[in-house]
Amino acid sequence: MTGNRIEAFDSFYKDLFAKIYQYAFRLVGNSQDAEQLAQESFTRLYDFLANGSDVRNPKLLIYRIAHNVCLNFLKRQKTFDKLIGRPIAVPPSSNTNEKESFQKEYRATLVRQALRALPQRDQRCLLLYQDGFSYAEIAEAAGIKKTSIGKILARALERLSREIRQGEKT
Amino acid sequence: MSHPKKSALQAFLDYELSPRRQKQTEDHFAACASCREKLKNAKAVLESVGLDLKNLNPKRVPSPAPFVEPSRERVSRKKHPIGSLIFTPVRVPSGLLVFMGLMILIFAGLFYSERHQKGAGDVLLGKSEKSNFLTITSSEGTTEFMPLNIPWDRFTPAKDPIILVMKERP
Repeated sequence: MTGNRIEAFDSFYKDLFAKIYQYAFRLVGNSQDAEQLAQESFTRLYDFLANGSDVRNPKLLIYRIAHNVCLNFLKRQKTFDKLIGRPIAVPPSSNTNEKESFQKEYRATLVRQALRALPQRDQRCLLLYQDGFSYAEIAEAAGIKKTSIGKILARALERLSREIRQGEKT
Repeated sequence: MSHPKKSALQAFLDYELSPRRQKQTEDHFAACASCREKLKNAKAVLESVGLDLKNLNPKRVPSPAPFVEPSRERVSRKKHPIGSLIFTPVRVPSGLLVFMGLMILIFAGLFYSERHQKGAGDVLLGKSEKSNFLTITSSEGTTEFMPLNIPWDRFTPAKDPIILVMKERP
């Protein structure tokens, strides 16, 4: 990479790091891992660009890379995932603030589990949708037809809502 | 206008329909109670799941650590012609790999069948124009033997299967 391109990449990295970190955090639920995975995603994009590959929309590509990196991480850490991803029990506590915080954490773990249970394509679409991307952008990032996005999102939202409700019952 | 499908309903909620279609769908909702009910449900799912997904976001986003160019070593290595020959990974198309694997299998099969036909130690009883003789095939080739203890013209391999003394056929 030439000096100008390195500078451009550095500014791109600074602009998007928070978004990618947030994206990773929603999937893995751990700040340290999310930070590492966000870094790894940028490293991969850098390698990709350094090899002379032409990228039309690096913003969408970084999201795509981040999702793959997170999925690989979760696959590698299956045992870890089982331990951390399981909804944590809410301990009886007299402290109201503590109880509320545990309940929030429990709910987040439940949602995260339900999200991970969705097919990869649905996860990707839903997270990009949540980040405010348009249907056209989601379609490009996920490699799907734009006309299918509405259907995929509607189904994914329903399924996620159903899974969360089931989780709540159990 | 016919009842909008799930995908159109979702796209309507996200303002992803064309302005004309958006207006048509809106008019349809105004006239159709069952579709209005569906829209209400879809909105409720979107709101509740949206909130759940929003709650997955981290409370704090770390500031990005300075980006270190990780692949600089790998990129600079390409400048050395010999080094690049040794270290640059060669990307072999998967189709070629499959083809090579198939070719190896075919050649191994042919080699095995040939070896099997000319298996070392195979004893075959043959006939020449003059008389009967015994052929022994080994990995080094085929040798023909004739009996010594039975008169040459009376030797029949089928009737005299055990030949005690043989000499190589001239």
